[in-house]
Amino acid sequence: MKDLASAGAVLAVSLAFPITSIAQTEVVVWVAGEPGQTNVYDDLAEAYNAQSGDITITVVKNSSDLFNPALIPALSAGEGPDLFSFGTGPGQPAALIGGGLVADLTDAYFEHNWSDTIPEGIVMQTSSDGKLWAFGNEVETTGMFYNKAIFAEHGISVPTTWPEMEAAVATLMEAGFDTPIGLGAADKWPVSHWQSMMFGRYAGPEGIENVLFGDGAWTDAPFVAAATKLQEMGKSGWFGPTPVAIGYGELMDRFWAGEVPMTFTGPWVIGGGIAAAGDRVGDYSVFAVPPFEDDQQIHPTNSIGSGWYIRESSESKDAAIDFMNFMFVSIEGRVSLLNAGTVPVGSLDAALATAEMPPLAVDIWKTSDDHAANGTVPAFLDTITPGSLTTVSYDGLQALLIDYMTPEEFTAEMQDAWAASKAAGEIMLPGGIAER
Amino acid sequence: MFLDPESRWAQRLNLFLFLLPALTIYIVFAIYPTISVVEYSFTDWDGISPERSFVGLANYERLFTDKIFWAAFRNTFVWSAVIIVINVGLGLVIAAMLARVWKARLLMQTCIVLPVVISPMAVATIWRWMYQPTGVINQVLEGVGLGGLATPWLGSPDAVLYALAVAHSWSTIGLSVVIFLAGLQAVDENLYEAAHVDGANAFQAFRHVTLPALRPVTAVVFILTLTQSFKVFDIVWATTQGGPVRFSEILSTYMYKRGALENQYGYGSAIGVALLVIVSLATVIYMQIQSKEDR
Amino acid sequence: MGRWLLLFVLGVIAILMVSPLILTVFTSFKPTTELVNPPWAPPVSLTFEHYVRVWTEAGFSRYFFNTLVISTVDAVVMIVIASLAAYAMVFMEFRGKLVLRVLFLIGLMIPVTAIVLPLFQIVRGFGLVNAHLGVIFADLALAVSIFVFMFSSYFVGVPKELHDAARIDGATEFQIYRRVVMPIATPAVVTTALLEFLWSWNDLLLRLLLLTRDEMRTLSVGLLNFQGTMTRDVTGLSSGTVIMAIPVVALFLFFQRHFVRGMTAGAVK
Repeated sequence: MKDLASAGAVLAVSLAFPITSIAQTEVVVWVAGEPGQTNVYDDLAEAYNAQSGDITITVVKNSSDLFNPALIPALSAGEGPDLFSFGTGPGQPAALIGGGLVADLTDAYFEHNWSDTIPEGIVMQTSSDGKLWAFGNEVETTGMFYNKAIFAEHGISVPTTWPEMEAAVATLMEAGFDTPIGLGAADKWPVSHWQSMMFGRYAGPEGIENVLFGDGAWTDAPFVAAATKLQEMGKSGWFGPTPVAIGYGELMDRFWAGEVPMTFTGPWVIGGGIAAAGDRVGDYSVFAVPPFEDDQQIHPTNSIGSGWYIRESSESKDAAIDFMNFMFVSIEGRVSLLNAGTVPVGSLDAALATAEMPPLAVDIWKTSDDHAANGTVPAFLDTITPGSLTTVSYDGLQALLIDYMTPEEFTAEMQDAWAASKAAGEIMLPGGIAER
Repeated sequence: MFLDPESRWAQRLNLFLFLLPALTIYIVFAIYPTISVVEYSFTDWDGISPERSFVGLANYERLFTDKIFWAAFRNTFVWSAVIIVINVGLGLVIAAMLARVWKARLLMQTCIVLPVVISPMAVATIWRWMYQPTGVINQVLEGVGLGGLATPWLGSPDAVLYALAVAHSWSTIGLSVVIFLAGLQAVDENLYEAAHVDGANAFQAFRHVTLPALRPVTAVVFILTLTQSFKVFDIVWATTQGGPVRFSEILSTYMYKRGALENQYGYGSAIGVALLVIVSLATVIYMQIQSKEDR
Repeated sequence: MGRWLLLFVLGVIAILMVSPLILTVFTSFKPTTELVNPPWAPPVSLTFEHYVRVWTEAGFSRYFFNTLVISTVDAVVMIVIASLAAYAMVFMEFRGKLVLRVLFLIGLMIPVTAIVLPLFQIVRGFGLVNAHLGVIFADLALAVSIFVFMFSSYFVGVPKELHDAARIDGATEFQIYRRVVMPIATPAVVTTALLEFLWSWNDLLLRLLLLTRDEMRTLSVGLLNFQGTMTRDVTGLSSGTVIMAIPVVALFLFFQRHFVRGMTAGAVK
């Protein structure tokens, strides 16, 4: 009985006191990402811990969109991670910055010559009031993944013009594929990736920037035209009879099983694809969606997946910065990221020499590089616009597809939400940081 | 003991000691946060910034003109009604059948109760997958010649809310069945015999003997189902997030979208308070009806 | 004839209820490349790889232990505090009983999703973020109402004479609670233990919020890690679900008889 009591006491003590680290300086890092995709940060932390004497990196992997409900209460209570990834500007981090919860990284930017690594366009999205708030990393792009075996079987070659695209879809439908292009619109992606891509194609890079940082509106003609086109494609059955009934994950299962010939997505599906398609993964490749209209160009979609922020009240800011340098600036870190299929920002020459990217990742980045000269547009408008706009967009895209809303109503709702956020001061001011 | 156990002070002390543990934990970790939420509902707090200002009833005024709120309000009622019909109605029928079965009863009871142990996240994943247009459910329907009933469940504005309610009921009905079974075991056998002598058939016996005897148990199941179903969040969030468009939006998902995703914590809190008030009202009304019938 | 029909209908219902679980078990044994066609078929080539992967790489062995600790403590403490409070509500006379009853009733209505932010601040105020105790307090607080009502409804059925007789013999309230009332209430104890254990075992939101260190996390959060925003790991999810269900299923099977009796004894009388 006495033993039981003392065991109980030990248990009580271990329950009552949070684990306190014995390490000298600990940096707690929260990353969010797809299953398996975030494993690279464990490896990076391990490599870093092995070489750094008095700093310990602890990585906590979070998944899915329940990340925010864990992060926001922690941050607003002055707790939480020292280093974490989060959405970027102009829409998303305004509240964090306004609330003084994240640290100003401008000094680090100059001290560590981050300008050699981070392109100016990304600094724009991660700064306001002349200060840098995040290290924007992990460039993502999107493209049309397709099944080469199905294309070959039906004598389809990769379409480069819209009539060729229409012909390819028609051939596939005749061949009995009820869903020529998978959309998985029960979820917000990839349909919102289509939205970003099409808005970018119709409005061009300047048109998008004019809305994000200038006084353009989502009701401008190119956006209405893009929404109209998307709705038309849906009505013609390009995405199958009921695209909003299919989930993204379930769609990808069918894609890798060879039931769906095409889907518009990004490198984050490659890991799952290698597992699901097995030996047949070589059957898959990526092409750039041809221009929708005669006078259009192909603008590659490029976005940073997220930005890395440091908590203002963190006591290990310098260590966190050092770890970021290791991950995103050092050759070792960049090669590890590339090997995992994650593309760091900046020039890849030195890193690429030793990296072994999966072939599908090489394919998708080639489609991006081929058209880079035309100027790039954001791949994920939803990670840079405020929450109120993204919920309206997600709902609206489904409404377009089930013909519950017209393109004009859709863009009008977007604009209303955007204007309201602007009026409430939830939009970061145009970016860029002051020269020194 | 120094105190006479009959003395008022001893009684007070006893009362205090018996109630203290439960009440302290309950007030500190449940009631106090709830009061804070009521307080936030009168502010414009974004949930992040150290500053917040008092805005009076503005959030509640906004509720009255918010079309999405009313849609979610309506959906929540439909959602709860469907679940109550299934869990209380069908639950009672299944329990009554189980009570009369003489073979393999424990096996069947186990099969019916088993889904109760599955975590809501997993329930969502399983059903989402079964509800795909080419998923198991549509395949089975076609296989048994009911292809006409096959529907794109999660993409259909008319079907989605009911489809999700069925998924939720699947994972909770086992509890109702168990409670009803307990109640049935306590029904006096003589009543059935009397009914039988009077020439009542099985259905009439169920109606005139079982149902009245089970009224208190039915009340327990009803209130449990009502309060739990109003609060459901995870299963809807992990399947449709309220979509397509807003056709499966319920109050808890709407509150989460406004409060957590759109940084309108004050307004989200007002939705939360409304949810609390609505479910309380529904419970009180039900209890009133019950006690009136008892009289 | 009618009896066989009854058996048939029940059999169909039982199969319908259990088949989603069988499908999940099938999936958990399928190689990832064999997932899609057809989804309802049993695995052609059996593999245990997902179980091994989930248990080791995905950290389920540690999550399992954490979950077990939290759920066990939850269940045990819940039995004690809920039965004590219910005893006071039923057997003791005091002013404000009605107020207290209403106060407890509110607990049934509180939507947890709404109160996570202030709850986090309170738990943090006690220094209990990332401690299992913080989650345990929150769990107890948010479910205690139901169990107080359950015990009350059971205690109401205990003959008042039994209580009074013990009183006349000079027993203190605590002695009556320990030696007279609780032994009769075994079914209610089992029911409370099972339900609180189950709810605690499966809860996600509070754990996600209050346990942010990987070494403190529970199975429900571990399961979430297979579900991304854009992709998901079906085989991992399925085997994780099965691992997570096994202990609770075992408990239910073991205590099934008591459980059935415990839910409503008081309400039936």
